[in-house]
Amino acid sequence: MPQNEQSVDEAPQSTEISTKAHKRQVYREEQELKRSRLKTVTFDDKEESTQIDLPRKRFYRQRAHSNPFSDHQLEYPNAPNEMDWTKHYPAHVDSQTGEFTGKVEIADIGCGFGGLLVDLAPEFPDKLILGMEIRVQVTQYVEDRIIALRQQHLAENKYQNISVLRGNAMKFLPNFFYKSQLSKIFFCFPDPHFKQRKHKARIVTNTLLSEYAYVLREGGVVYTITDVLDLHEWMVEHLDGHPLFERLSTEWENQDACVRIMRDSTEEGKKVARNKGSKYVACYRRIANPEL
Amino acid sequence: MKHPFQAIASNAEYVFAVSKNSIHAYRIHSDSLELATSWTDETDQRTLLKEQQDQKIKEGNLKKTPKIPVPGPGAPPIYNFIRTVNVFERYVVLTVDMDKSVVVFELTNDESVWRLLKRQRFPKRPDSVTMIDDHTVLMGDKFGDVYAMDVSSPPQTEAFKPVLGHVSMLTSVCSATNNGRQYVISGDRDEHIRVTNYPKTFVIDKWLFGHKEFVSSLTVPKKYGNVLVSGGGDDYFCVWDWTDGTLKQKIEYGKQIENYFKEGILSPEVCPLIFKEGALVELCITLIVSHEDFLVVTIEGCNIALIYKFEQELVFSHYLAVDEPILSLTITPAGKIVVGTDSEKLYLRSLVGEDQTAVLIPENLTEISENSPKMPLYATSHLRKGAMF
Repeated sequence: MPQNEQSVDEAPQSTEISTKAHKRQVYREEQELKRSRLKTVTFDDKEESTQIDLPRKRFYRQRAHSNPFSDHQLEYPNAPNEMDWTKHYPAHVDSQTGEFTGKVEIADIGCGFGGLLVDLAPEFPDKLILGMEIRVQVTQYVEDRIIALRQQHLAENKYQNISVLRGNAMKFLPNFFYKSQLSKIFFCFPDPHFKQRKHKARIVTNTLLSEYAYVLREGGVVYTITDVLDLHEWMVEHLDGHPLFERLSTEWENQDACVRIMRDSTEEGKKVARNKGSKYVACYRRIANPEL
Repeated sequence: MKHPFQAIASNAEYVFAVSKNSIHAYRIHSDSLELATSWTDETDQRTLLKEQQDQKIKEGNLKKTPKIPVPGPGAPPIYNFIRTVNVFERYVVLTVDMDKSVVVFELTNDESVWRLLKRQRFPKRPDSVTMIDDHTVLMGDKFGDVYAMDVSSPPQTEAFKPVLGHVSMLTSVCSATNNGRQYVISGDRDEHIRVTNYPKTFVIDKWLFGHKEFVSSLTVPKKYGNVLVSGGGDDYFCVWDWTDGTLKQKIEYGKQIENYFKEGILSPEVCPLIFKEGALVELCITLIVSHEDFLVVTIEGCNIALIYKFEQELVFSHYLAVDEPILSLTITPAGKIVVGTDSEKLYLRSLVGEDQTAVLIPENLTEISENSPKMPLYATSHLRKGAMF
């Protein structure tokens, strides 16, 4: 962020902005400190743990779009077997061997502020859920949120099954997950990329669906929800056209807990409801590979 | 001044050498090459822009006639050149940057050498082509998509549907078979190598994880169909069994080049591009070419090509040195190496045994004026992330 070099008497508005920016910076630095401290602590001393407040979203605002084609400074494993999950799910580490005992099964691609993750956590207590988000600030918000939630629910050992990482799922999904590792993939309110020349940046394309099919197990489900009709039709068209996916019925959607959570609990979902917008849902089952 | 040969390919009869926007077919003799025919791509930018304008007008819904853009003084130069040349059984396939097209020639077995069969334009720049069967070309583009194109059908004007795609620039596409099944192997500017079934390209077979930098070249040797050799921005290259996904060998060519430098075999005078302040820069591989039991690796900006041999595993055999940095290289079915360098010369060598080197200076090379820039001859290292173009 560039330094605001304007003098105080010149523009009162810019001063206000600069104090805001300053506050935001101070807040982020504090959080950074907490985060680095808490990540290394193993929550053994339950007495000592102070109450941690949930992070405040307004300090983490970031532009809503990110270019999936650019070379971000991303950290990702060279291959799935080199991924260190222990930092993400410290409660699922064997205390004797230090080895990771779980397996991520549910992925929320573009998890945003993490509303879905937080609500999925109690629904699937024995499954590990990972949110992937490309925006740095937003990822940090979710990280802080999960740290706070874990701390607040230390006694019940809750929220140990969710985590988040910054990543570009369009490029590096196979670096994180083995073939057929996932049982559910969520795409909630993805960036619509309205312009036609940007359509390849959409999270659902013919060619990317093959990669999702690769990491999804047979019978696994792709969940999509959006408030943009045009994007909904795009996703339906592409998923319908893909030989490895089969649409699930409205009856199925109505009885599925994840669909309910997806509709009601994501931040975008709530925002759309506030604005009385429509939400379009489409879910697809990964079917078996054909005879090759 | 003459433009060097930036791309080269061969079959038993001819060497096809590309100089800027021309391709020359040379008939191979025991120690010389004789020009048989040439073709020059005359597409120019103004005509293309005019066509685009006409297209926009035809599509209608315009308030005013769109302008033909005129590049300003600071605009980057536009090069009209042929990027790659590939020879398959009956076809010579070129990729041309100017209008982002794939050009197919059919070999005729007579004096005329070939005839132009098809020129197909694509929405994004074609980077790499291969043939998956006797009539289908697969083309990987700068945008990361692979398209299948029939060689003989008339050019298509409606949009193509990609058969597979990466979210990264594709640098190399090759085809392979195992147990009677066909596969496409594709490498990109991230470090990914992907093995995909064909024609059911929606079923991905596997990824091969082993590179930390971009991949620039992939080769499945004819004689060893299960082997894949891949190289790019790393100081090693990988030898895989692509059928089961195992990484067999990582060969550290970078160390070897460094030794050549220490021994005085490699000098900054001959290859200034790979030195900075007297030390070697990060190297990258431009080409991996295989022939029978041999594999030749070229390094960007370097006048030495490394030659390896398949025994129990891939082992270093010897090196080949020329007087200028190597730009292009091909091995003929008879085992002759033809090398194009950053000069007007073509070198004709034999792959094994003592060399009766022939240096040829073909006369009909594309003339360029002194001050007109050569096409970017050393573009591979710019694939590195964070590299400044």
